[in-house]
Amino acid sequence: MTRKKVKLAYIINDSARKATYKKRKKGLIKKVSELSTLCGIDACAIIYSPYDSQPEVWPDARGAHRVLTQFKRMPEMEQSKKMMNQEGFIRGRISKAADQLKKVQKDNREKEITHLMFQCLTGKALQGLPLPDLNDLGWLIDQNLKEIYKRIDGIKKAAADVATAGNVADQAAPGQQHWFGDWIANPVGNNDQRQIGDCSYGGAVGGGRGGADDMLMAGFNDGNGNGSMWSSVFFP
Amino acid sequence: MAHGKKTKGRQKIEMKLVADDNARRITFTKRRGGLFKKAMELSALCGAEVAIVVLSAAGKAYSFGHPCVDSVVGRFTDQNDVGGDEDDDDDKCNNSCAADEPVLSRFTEQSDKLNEELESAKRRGKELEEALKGSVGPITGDYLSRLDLAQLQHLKEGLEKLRDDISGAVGGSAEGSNLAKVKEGGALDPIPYNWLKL
Repeated sequence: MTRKKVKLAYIINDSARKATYKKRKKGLIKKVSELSTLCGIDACAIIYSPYDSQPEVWPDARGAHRVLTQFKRMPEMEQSKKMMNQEGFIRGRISKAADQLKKVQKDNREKEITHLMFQCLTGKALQGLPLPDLNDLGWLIDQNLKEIYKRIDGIKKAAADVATAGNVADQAAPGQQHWFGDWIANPVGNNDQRQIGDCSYGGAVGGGRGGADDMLMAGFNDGNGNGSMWSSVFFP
Repeated sequence: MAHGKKTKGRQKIEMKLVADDNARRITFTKRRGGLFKKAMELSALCGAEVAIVVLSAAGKAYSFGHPCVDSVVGRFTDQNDVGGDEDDDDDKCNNSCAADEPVLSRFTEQSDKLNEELESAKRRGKELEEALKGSVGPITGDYLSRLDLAQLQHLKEGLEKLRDDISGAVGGSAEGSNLAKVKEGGALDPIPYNWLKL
């Protein structure tokens, strides 16, 4: 089967057009038959062409009439609801693809900003990030915090019910301190960062900003001594 | 020739009723779409008049026709109604329901372009997911549910601090209020004139 892209335009060349017609007509009939068998539904196909005086019909004239009678018996609105012509069909495809694209882009953006969030937790500086990224980051942090508060409350309530305070204390072991660095597959060298960096949203994430190490002190040392405390925790 | 394929690819499927209800429904939707697409291509490329009517298990009717379903169906039923009633379905539309070619061509190009963009966006999504893999599992979706209390509290503190840092960097609260800017010691936005009316 050749896989050349064919432009959707009337084929000018007579013999090419006739050959295409024969092939595609055969394929179409096969497809409608498969649909009917696989899904156990009634269907019919009618094809008129300048090459045949009689239309090509599937399953056969009788079967087609049966389906069409059923069809025509339905209320006008039911018939038209899912009725399509070339333009309507293509418009529908475009709108569906556009919706899907929007959704995927939105999900991608969220993943991107989540990545940025963890980079910032492990030392990436906020200075120099473009405003849209900062705004989205703030929003995502709020969303995460909301969920975290909920879960913490839930766990505490459940723990209170069980009434064994000892268990909770055990979990704050010092060994757990290096999570954030471990949580996110720490970018090996600059490869990951570059990959993430070439996006259309201003290229803020990673990409060309150098290793997080350099930013570490600059970003977090706010004079309260917090900088050094967090750096040892987040950056193994 | 590489041996290990990444996916199973197109598999030969048996031509009989699909057993699983859900799979059948999905097959129906996908194949119906593909069928109409083929019908559209046939009509556009070869100038054929086509009508396809599909009745779903639920009793809904899906149809595709060029120039329109009614005209082709009418033409078909009329040819068998020798000398019968004057059912004008096939005269009704006069090709006014057919899209002209440049429009169709443009639409298909647009559709193809969108699908390409969709594919590349999906690929990018996979890249991003790779980057978000971590020792607590992928940091997407419901990752918070996989954290224990201590981890949640730790993350909470980290995020709260980060949020404060952001407010400083942006120079204001989420609302961008002038009040917050004054607190930060940054420059004020010019006051809109209508405030002065107060």
